[in-house]
Amino acid sequence: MSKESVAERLSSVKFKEESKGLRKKISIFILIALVLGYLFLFFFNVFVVASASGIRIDTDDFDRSSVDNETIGIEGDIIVRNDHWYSLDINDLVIEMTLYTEEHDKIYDKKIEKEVLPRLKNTEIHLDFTFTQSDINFEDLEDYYALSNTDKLIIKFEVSVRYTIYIMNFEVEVETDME
Amino acid sequence: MSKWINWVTLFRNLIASVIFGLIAPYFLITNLDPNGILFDFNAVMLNGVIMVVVYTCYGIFKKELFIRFLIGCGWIVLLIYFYTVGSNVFTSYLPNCGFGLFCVDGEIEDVKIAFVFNYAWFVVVVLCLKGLNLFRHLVKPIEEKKYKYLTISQKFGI
Repeated sequence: MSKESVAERLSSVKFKEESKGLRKKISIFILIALVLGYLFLFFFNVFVVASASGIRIDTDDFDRSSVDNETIGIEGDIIVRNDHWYSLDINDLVIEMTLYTEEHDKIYDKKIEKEVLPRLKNTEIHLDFTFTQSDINFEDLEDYYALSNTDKLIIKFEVSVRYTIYIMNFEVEVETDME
Repeated sequence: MSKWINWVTLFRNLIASVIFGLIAPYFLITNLDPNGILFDFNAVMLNGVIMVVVYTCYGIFKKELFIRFLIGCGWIVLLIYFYTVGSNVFTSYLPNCGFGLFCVDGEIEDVKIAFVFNYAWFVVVVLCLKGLNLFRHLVKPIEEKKYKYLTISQKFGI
């Protein structure tokens, strides 16, 4: 293949002269589709922001959970108020609590999953992340020694949620002394 | 060769991409977010470098040329790959967050808090619309004497 032929191939596309009218119509159609596409994207995002701003989260019965020297964690209900008329479904909610030693060895985890928090409804989610040492099922002796030899426990809460085409993750990490 | 090169769009794209891809983000981040709490400096600069290289290449060729369409398609496919595939050769150099991720992390009274917002699909939709626009440029019939300012400069022999 000569250099000229490569250059020719990469140069102007040889459209037939008769296709000029059709090409003009196609380009106008695409332009209209583009304008509509960008407008849709803009208003869709405005709607998503407005819809998300209407969501309210209330807590219930959290004061009953007693965290003492024997018990670690939290327990209670949260109510996701997604009942406004312009609401959207909240999808793939995952709330996870993981317990680590000070050396970041994972010794316990608990997960709560909800596929859909439907629109126009209030959804109650029961959180039970309270546990004592006896709740932990040690898979092997290393886990037991890891818990026995640590001076600190690291508790990590992770919340992951999908809202339309967006995904959000929220993570909080706290440390507690083992005394 | 010069019949395929558009010097006007070449320098216009080079200047625009350097200003909007590198200089403006550099000054915005170093002044508004010097500690890198909201924006990942490396990710933004890497985006800028890719924008300068590809957008300049994109501007070399005249709008109706097939090679320009190919470069544009390549650019869009590359960016869609970056934004949809989390781990690649570029993002491996990014410490916290890569393409399509907005990250905030910090510490309040010894409690570590992190927030990640994934907007990759939004970018992919915008890139698809850009791809459609590329195709429009290819099929759109080219009008004669499009660059009037060039015709005027030729008249005066500038």
